[in-house]
Amino acid sequence: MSWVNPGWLWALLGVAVPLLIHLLNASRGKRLAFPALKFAVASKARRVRSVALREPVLLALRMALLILLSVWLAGPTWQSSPSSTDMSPVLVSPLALQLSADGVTDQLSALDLSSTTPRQLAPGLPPLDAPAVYHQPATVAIKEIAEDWPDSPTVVVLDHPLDRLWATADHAGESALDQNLVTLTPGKVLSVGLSVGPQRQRDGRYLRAALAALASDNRLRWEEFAETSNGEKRVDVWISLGTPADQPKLNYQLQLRDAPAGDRWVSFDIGGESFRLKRAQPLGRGEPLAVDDEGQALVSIVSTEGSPLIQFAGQFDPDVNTLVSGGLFPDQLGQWLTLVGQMPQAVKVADTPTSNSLLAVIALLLWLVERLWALNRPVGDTRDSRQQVVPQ
Amino acid sequence: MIDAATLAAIDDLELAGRMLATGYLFGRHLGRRHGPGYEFAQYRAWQPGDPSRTVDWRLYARSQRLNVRESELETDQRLWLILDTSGSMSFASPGGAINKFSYAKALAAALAYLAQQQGDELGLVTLGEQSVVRIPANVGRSQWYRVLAAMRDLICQGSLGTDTTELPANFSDQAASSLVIVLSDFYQNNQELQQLLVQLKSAQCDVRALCLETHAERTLDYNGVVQLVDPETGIQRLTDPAQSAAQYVAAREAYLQAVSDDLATHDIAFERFSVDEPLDKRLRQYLTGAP
Repeated sequence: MSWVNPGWLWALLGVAVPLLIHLLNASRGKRLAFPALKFAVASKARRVRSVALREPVLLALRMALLILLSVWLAGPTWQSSPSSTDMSPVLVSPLALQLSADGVTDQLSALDLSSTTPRQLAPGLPPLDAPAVYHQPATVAIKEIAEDWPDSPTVVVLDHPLDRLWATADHAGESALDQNLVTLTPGKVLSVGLSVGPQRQRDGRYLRAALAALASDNRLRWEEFAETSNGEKRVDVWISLGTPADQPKLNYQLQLRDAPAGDRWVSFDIGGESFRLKRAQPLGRGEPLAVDDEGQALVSIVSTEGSPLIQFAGQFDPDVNTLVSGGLFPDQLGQWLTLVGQMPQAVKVADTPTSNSLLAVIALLLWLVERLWALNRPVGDTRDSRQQVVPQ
Repeated sequence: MIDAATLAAIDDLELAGRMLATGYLFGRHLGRRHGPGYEFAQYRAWQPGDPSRTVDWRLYARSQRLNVRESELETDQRLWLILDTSGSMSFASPGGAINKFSYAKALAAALAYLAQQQGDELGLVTLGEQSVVRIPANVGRSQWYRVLAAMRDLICQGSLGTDTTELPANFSDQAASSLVIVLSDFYQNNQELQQLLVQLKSAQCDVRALCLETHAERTLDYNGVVQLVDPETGIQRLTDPAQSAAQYVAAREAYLQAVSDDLATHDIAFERFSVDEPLDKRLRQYLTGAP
């Protein structure tokens, strides 16, 4: 079991509050106004201190209520035990596999690759050992919105080689050079780190093919996050280059077009309001699948809002225009492998909204029981009698 | 039946007094009595035997009919209500709907209504060091409203007063030969309340003592150890009711029995009213003398 907001677990310390209150009440006695005081017999202090807890059921209910609330706020997520029938897909870049073979990480080997059958996510793409498709004659249409553009009042659309795309993305990331680059992959959001790899292109053909392959997998429902633009499906590529405060003020609309056939394309925005920095913040360390020599997580599985994500992390160096550590981004998205099979490290995250709702309902029921119990105590118990309680 | 919760919900002394008293009057045919007096009530036809001075001759000049002018019958009966406004009267049973003071005010309103209906004079005196009110005795409906208005503004706090016998100045003279009903919980410093009642009795008053109490006071029925605080003196006492309730009940009963016996020697009736019981039923029981 892991926690979405583990900081809330500190609230468990609040369980001590009702316990202390009960203990104090048991030792000092509740202050009550009582006019016939002169007929009451004073108790001996020694006897009073040995008084047992009053209303143990009520105390237990209140402590359980606090525990439940703390757990609910912490947002538990549950891992299922590995089983032969429980198969989860894990996307791994070929480079990660290669590192694993070189003994770079033990964590990645924990995937028990021997019992799984890696398959290429998008069939029909170049084989794993084939060189990446660099410098193909694909072009990208960049609609540059700049008021000071010399020949146009506001908008100019130019075709650039795809290299230009990476140069643009690099430029966009200049204001966040010291930030970790984080790329999130299917499960929730499909992302590509644009500033990775020196002068490498992401061919739209591979991107589309990879998305189509993801769509065929029930567990990776990327379509939920596709947006519609101009009546067509559009895939937003999520980029994380830094904190929102460092968001560069650029206004580029980029379209990736398939080189041979121009009718297949993806588009995304960089800069301005559409620069999705907020939605792609680093999600924490997660559960590392691969680490580098310094112990930094290169590939990890994180959870957000109940969805498993694979997180790639690295440090971007603008001088060489590439990652100086953690080069685990796939050269081609379509080259990613889907490992399906018995994977000890496979994470199955419970439906967190459902479990959280269940916790909330249980907490509500507990609260109702506590209230009923408190109200239906014998008449002589005056803890709910506001008139009678004397202010301390 | 008007239980404590209903009575507490009726935040209107006039309505509460009417309801409680009406329950007692129902079926008793205690109509208004008419006769000589100052406050006009009605005309009725002259009958043989009526003195001629009772005939309204001006009306005869206009209508050529002999009519006798009748007024509300004024009696020498006088009712004084003495209300305890000390802080102890604000106590209510845990979870109880009404405290002793509200209960006493409703009871006083009902008794006052009965007196007003019978044409008796009505007066009010409060006991307590914080709020001392005295409404001189008078007759009529407006007097009843005056008493209700005075009771509505009363608050109960502080002690009963160290020298209660001096609180109603010249009161004993005014209350001579009156019916005096004292509504209190009889928590006194010494015996000042008893002394006042005896003093009134010696002034030929018909004195009735109504002792108000709650279930919690009768039984000390609390769970666990409690720190009891006297609302009047602020004195605290740590008590374990499970161990000492029986001793408490015995001591309190002995005290009230002593008060009752002492008053009985002076022919002063002492009745206990539990505010957790329906007031209309208890009032009817008290007025009819039923056990």
